[in-house]
Amino acid sequence: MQLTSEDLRGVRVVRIVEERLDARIAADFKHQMIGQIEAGRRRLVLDLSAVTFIDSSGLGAIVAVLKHLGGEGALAIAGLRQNTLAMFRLTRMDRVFSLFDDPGDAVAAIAG
Amino acid sequence: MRILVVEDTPSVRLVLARVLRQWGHDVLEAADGEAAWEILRRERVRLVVSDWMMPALDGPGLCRRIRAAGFDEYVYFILLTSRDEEADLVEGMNAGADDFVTKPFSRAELDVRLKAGIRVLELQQRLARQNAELSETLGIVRRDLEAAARTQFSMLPDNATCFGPTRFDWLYSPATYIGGDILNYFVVDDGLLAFYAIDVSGHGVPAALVSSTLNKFITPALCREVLQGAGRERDPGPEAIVERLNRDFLDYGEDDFYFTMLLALHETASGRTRVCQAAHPHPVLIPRDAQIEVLGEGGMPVAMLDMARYDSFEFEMAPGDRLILYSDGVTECRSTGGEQFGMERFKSFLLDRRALDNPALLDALRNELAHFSGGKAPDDDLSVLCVERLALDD
Repeated sequence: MQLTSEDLRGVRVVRIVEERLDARIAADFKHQMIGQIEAGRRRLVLDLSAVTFIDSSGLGAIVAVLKHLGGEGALAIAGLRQNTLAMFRLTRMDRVFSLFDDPGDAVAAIAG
Repeated sequence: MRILVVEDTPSVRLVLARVLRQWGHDVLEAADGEAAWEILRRERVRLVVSDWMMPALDGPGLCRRIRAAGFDEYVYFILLTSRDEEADLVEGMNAGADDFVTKPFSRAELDVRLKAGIRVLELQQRLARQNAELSETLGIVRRDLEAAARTQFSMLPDNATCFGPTRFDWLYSPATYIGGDILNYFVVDDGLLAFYAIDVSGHGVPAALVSSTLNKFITPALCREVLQGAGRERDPGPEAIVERLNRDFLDYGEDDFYFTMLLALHETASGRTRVCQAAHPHPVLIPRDAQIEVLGEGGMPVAMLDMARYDSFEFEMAPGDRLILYSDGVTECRSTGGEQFGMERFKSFLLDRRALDNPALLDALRNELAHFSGGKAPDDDLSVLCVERLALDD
């Protein structure tokens, strides 16, 4: 599974370089994200602009990352596409996460 | 090690056999390929040292015959050759020989070639043993899963069942033997039915354990208890039951565990139907005489977040109306090209086939999805529940 990370204004932007965030990579994704949090990165933007499909395991992994933050820090989502946005709406995750079209806007919103 | 020596020159055969016996091997002797073949058919021999040129059947010929026979145990084959030419080696290898010893043979060379062969045979034997153990274990797991699948199917309600004027039909097809989808319907009270469809995140055994637990947990008694206990709210609906499930299952499983569900309460006399949609795909209403409608505005999954709150929507099912509940195994079913079946295709399928009765419609859907996915094994569990308010003239 491929993630790329960069730091902008104290916010870690993690981009998933995969088309599908599904059962095949969900556990690995969760593990790597939790690794970043344990390393002290508690303000995160998840850039999903390359992802065209998220299944139930993928969604579970994203929420598990949010739970791992335990309210200390922030996890914003950027770059949802038609299909993935529909999934966030169906599951009302659009009310749990702050959603942004552009990762830069997400960084501006949660930078300390 | 039991070794067969095949050599037409008696003096060479004697020397070879004597040396091998000195090294502690159990040695059989044959004067040509045909005689050797007779022995190999009768006796268990793991290693053959054979001359090349012989009357009746030569060394490469014997080797080819052994390979073609496909014995249960591998037979390691060493060819004796007087020439050390590349063409000979290629022919010997093509016949299936494992190694070569040049004639006249030196004891030292024969020793190392034999040891190499015995190492290969020991490795092969160890792998064969492990393989047999794995096959046995796999067989046990498979039989267990088949038994579990039968248990899971027995939890599903009777198919094609009517409660008064309301009829239920379902389709259930787990991705592996057992699945994380579950559905059910039952009488809560006089004239009040409940039905639900659940999809536990993930699939296979872990998801199936949870779906079985939920199946036993969601009972008429639980529904009555929640609906009556909600007292202060007037006319509590299915959302109250889902909120209860959210509380009770919140700490169940790992941090990425949750399930999606549709839970509905249906009044048989009026057709009034209230549905709580907890992240499960939007139900589809097929009215008797009107356009197909996709219902609901979504809702949070269950057992994911303690802050989750649920609501419900309501509508009236008129006689002849049908309501379709389905897991994302339908809409997320993928073609070999990676394309999803999707909501639009599902809607037009239902539109085209709305004349079919419920069992035929579900059958057609199963076939359509199998055809769409090109017959490959499904990624996800598939479950569909069809609820119909029967028309009076039916």
